[in-house]
Amino acid sequence: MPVDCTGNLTTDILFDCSNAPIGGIEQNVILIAKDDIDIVNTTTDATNRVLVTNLQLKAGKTGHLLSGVKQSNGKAWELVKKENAPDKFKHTFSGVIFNPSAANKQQADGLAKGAKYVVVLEQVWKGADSKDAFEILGLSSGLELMTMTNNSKENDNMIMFELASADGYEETTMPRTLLDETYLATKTIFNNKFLQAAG
Amino acid sequence: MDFTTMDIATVSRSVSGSGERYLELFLKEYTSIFKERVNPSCPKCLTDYLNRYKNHFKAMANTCNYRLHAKYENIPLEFGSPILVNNGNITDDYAQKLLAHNNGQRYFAQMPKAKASVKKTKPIKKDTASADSISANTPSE
Repeated sequence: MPVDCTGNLTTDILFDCSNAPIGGIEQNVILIAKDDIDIVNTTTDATNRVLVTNLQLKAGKTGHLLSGVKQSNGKAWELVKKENAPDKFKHTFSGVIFNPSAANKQQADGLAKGAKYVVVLEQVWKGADSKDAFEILGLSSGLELMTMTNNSKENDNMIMFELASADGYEETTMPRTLLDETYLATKTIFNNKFLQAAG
Repeated sequence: MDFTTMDIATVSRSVSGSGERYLELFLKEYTSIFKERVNPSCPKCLTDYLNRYKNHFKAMANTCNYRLHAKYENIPLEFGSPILVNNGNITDDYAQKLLAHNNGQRYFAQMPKAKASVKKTKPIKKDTASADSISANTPSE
């Protein structure tokens, strides 16, 4: 089926009152180096470009857990208007590293080296049959570390950071939904940090 | 020293006869198997390491012909089930239940080949045929 590039609406946009909106994301988040994603075997639904049906990493690679508390981690996205090109989307993930230990600072230091990251998170709102629970930020262009701050007088001395789409290199879509057939399977993969066994 | 039979308290607190801490020995063995860095000061991580280590040996001992992809390990047998299936505890029965999921085949890295009906064929006689007769690929004797 040819891809529709006209951007015309194809169906109604409805309110499902049995799945009313809920704010927030679940505590734990997975950070994946963009280079570790196996683009060839990562699949998108044929009829919906914002639905990823398989997020696969390269052999021997894994995502990394960023554990949170309550709503310490968060996500946001916004439209970036382009004058003479299709509009883009800026994805932003704000995270917290609770313990400023040497081990955690080493990882935080790694984030600052310029690599691009993809963030997978679970929303508190999950939709019908929990099929809309997981979202992927930065799958096309990746997210870069934009801010990282620590202040002994603020935020209990925690390390606060933000990963976001770089200006001029935004995403072509809003954050994609991840669904590997069922919530059960997607949650299992998420819990396993998308681990791909070494080939 | 068999760490697969120990609990995390034993591993983290005991000392061998020669004065070496079990924890140090365990982490040396763990890193030699899994080739990853470890964090000895994280109690939750140590529990995870020991579980992974035990599951690794259970999986090696398991003779079931089904093997899950790493990312699908510990998948619930079915919705709401307390049984988490991994390569250590998988059986043919569990595998059949997982295969009944939507597109359940994708969970598996290895599955036994389906038993196809094999036609009996006559054994090929060894002969001293020339290269021309071999390339002719004669269907029957």
